Amino acid sequence: MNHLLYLLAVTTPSPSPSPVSPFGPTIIHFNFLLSTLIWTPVLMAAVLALLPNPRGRYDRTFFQIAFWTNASLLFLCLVAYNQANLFSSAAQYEENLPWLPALGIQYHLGVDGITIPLLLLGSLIGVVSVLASSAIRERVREYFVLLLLVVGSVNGVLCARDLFVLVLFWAGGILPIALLVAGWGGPGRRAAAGRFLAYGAVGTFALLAVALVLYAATGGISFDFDFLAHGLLNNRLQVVIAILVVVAAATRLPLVPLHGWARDLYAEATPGVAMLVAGIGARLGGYLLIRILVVGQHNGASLIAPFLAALAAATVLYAAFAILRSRDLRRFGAYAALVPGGVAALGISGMTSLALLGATFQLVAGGLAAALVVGATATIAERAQTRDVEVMGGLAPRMPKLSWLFVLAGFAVLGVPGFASFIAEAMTLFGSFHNQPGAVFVLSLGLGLLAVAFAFFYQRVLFGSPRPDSPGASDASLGEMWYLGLLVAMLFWWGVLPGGPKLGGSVTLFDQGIVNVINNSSADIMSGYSPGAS
Amino acid sequence: MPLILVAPLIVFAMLALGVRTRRAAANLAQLAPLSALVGVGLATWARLQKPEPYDGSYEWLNIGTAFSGPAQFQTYIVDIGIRITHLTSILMLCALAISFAVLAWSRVGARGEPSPARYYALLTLLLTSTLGVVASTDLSVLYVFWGAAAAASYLLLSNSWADEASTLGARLALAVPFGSDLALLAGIALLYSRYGQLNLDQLIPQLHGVAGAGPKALATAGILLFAGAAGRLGLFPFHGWLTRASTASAGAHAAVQGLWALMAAGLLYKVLPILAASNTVNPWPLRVVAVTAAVSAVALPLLGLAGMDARRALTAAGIGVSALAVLGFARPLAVAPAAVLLAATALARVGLILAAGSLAAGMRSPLVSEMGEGLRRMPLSLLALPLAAAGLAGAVGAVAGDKLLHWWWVAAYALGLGLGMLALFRVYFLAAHGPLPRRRGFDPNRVRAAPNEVAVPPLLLAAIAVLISIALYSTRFQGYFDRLPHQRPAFAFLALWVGAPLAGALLAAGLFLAARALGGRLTAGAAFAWEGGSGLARRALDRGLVAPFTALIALLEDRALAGGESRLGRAVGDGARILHRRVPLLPVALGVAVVVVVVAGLAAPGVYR
Repeated sequence: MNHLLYLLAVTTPSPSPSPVSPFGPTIIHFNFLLSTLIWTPVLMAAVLALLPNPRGRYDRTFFQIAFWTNASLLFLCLVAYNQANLFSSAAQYEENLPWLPALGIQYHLGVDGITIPLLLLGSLIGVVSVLASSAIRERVREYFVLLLLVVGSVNGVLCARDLFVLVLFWAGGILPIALLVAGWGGPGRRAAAGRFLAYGAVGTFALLAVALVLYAATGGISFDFDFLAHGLLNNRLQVVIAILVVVAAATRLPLVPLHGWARDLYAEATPGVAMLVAGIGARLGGYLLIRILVVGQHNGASLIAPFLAALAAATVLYAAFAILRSRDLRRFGAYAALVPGGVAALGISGMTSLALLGATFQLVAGGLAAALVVGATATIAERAQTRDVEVMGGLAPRMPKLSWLFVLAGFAVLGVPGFASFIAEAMTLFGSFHNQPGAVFVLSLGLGLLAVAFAFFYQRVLFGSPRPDSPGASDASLGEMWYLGLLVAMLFWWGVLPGGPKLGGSVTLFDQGIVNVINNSSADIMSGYSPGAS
Repeated sequence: MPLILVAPLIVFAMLALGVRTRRAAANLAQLAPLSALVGVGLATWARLQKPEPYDGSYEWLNIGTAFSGPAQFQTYIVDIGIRITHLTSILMLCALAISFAVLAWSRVGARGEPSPARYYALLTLLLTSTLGVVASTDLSVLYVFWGAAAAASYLLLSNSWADEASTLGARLALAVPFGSDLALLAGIALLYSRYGQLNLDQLIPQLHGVAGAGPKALATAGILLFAGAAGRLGLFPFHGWLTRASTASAGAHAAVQGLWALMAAGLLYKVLPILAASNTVNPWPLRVVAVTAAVSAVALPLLGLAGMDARRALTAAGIGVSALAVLGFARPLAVAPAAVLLAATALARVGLILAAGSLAAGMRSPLVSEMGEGLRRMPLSLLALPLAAAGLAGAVGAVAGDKLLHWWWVAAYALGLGLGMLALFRVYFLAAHGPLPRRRGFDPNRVRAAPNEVAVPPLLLAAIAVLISIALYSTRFQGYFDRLPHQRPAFAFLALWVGAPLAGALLAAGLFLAARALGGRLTAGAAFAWEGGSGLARRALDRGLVAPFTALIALLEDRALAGGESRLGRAVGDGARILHRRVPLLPVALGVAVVVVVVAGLAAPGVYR
């Protein structure tokens, strides 16, 4: 009994600011919200791994368990999103337990306005990813175990307030993704998985180096973000840290020239895995830049900003030209999925408050757009029974629903008005112009080229004359319509009502508005970067 | 007032999501301009005698982005502001007239369009976007509608995907104005980066009062904003996307050029204070406006004279005369009349294209060399051409005025009007009075007058353009839009403004009667030269820009990246193989220890600080 009491006393988290719901008392109030988000998928993965499954008898049950696990996470994230306190820039839903006190490592979790929308995105993409994996027939148990582990690690990265814990979750997600690609991917799956592992290792080592250098430079006391962010480091060291963070982020976001894995992984993985990685896995790179670089290393971030802006512009330009020469539909989707990351990186390098707000929003909107374009191209390639653009042609009459979804995906990546990505891109470009006008121009030029490339592809794949030698094609099933439609709906919702639906112009209804939630902490962080402030 | 924008948007959604048949789509699409007309009509009626505009504002984004730094960058506010002034009323009414005419024409004229629901939905979206651009008071909201209109235009022009020529034209319609849209975006971004404000009501009063926003930035922003408008108007050198789009359906082509002219008029009117404000210290923005307009006014009618494609020639000539209206924007006192003139030219241009579309459908050829006897066989469609020409050229003189004109402005007006009319009437004379040649599979005797649904809308639009042109000669009508005193031009100038287009028309008649063969040869030669030049430019662009970049990407993708990865892979593999070998433990342990010591030493606080 005493042991139990001791355990309870130890595991009770320290008090945290109580989030206030905009429409009354909190719906759900418990102190383990973030741990639940991280460990539920891991626990369910363990359960799935241990359940007996004679001759694949319970394959469908595994799918359902994975779906409902992700759906409940989505529900919890919606609650967290809705109950977020818009008047506090402090970490919310905080949990803080000592883990390795001698090394200053704590199990410290917490979220703020930047993290909550990304958590929401992650859980939404989790649901979409499971739905997109309904066609998996081989080693179903193993597939969903790995998928749930990825979801858990992504949530861990987002919730961690301790850099060491973050590094662990960051590294923990790489192997399951690589195994998912190697086990269930297309013909080039082994190379794709190998590349992802290699780039992941480079990124993890860079991140680990950041953690160790920061830890050492601040006196070797703690890995806690709040502590590390207040360390007084000289500019040279800040630049070194900034370069390492950019390398780690560039391997994940990804940015040219560290994008090699993305081309293969998005083209070879199953639609579910590709959407999971493009939708949220890759966004973690941008999150890392904001969380470590922008928040903590003010001068380092400012000094390295032109370099980051150049990488961002080069990424978008590169993607546009690569699409123009691509003859593989899934590679087209892979290159298009690079674009939102480039735009977000430009916003981060813009170093103005609006640009950073736009970049954070772009991480969310771009995640949806990237998942949509990767998912749409993968589904079309499956339904058309080929990925070769030379063989495709005139698919629109045979798959009208998928064709429209593909067109909408292109619009979402380009940032056509009406989509959330438009608002995010507009904020990013307007905000970045002050400090990075050249990069803004080059990136916009890349977007223009991308528009031409999209038009070229649409004409060739969807609307051109049907080719007699192309294999038979069929339209999207109801399930495929559901998960792709869900992404489109979210893009429209946040595109039309980024500030939430309002009654009488002031009172928000059931949605607080994504820009308000993001801004709840970003305004505090980004004030230091507003023009003329420094 | 939101009815003006929301109702057409709802119709668009219904068309895009729920309608399948052509008849239902055509009927439903009529609801969009009809419902907007109710809103615009009521607002116009309410403000007919009152100078104050009708204002409405709806909050879209209101976020505090920072707690320190200059006050203007601490918030980011975007309100969907709608303002209906006397000028925006007439621009909106013109947009609705164009929309009604194109929809009516399309009931018969666009029967062959694939996916009619998509066609009508995109027409509705284009109308909604036009109304949004004209009414909005915030530059970012304006850009939202601008972007939506750009997407709608591209999709509309490429509606006939299966047609290779149409698709090529549509791709050009996507790529060329995207550059100018980019310039507009850059202009808006530049303004925001200096003023932290995009609401025109709040931006314009502080153009000279914000620290850090110098005349250079203002002038650059002004030129970029103008480039945005010029691209969508099709001014030289951005004209290719409109002239090449003649391969698309005539309804789509007409709607795109008419509605974009109105949007450009709205944009130029709104941002002209920015250009004018920079003009006090830096005259370049207004100079750029004037020179671009003057060059377009002369060059594009010349392009209209080259080649035999009727719609292409009419489009080029129409843009040329519209450019003369843009020239009016370079004179601050003539801005509002210039915007009205641009609206009148938009109506006339739509009339021209729809009429040319009817003629091409009736005579089974888009080439003017294969048209003829139009006055006898298709009189209503053909009469729209001279009427629209009168609407185009009629009021240019009223806006040109006579004061403060440089000699080269006078020359540009006179030459532009003359050449424009020469190009327009060349098409008219060949189609109306030329012989209708017999061709393979085509019997001239089977050419019949177009049905009224097709023949009447262009005629009506041309008539409205003529009425507006006549009204523009009234100084009271001009003053109604800007509440400024206007003067009628002197008789000598008036004679010049009327004489120049007449001279152009007479020259066309003379050439048609006396030297048709020579004219034909000249036209063919000019077209050959132009096509050759365009082809060379295209190839140069392809070889000079696209090919090197694509080669560079190929080099990066296939060699550098793959090579680097494989080297890395080999290194990792070699490293892994070491583990299988028997390695000397002591040196390795010593080496690792040294690395650890060095890292620890470097990481120690004393080393860094």
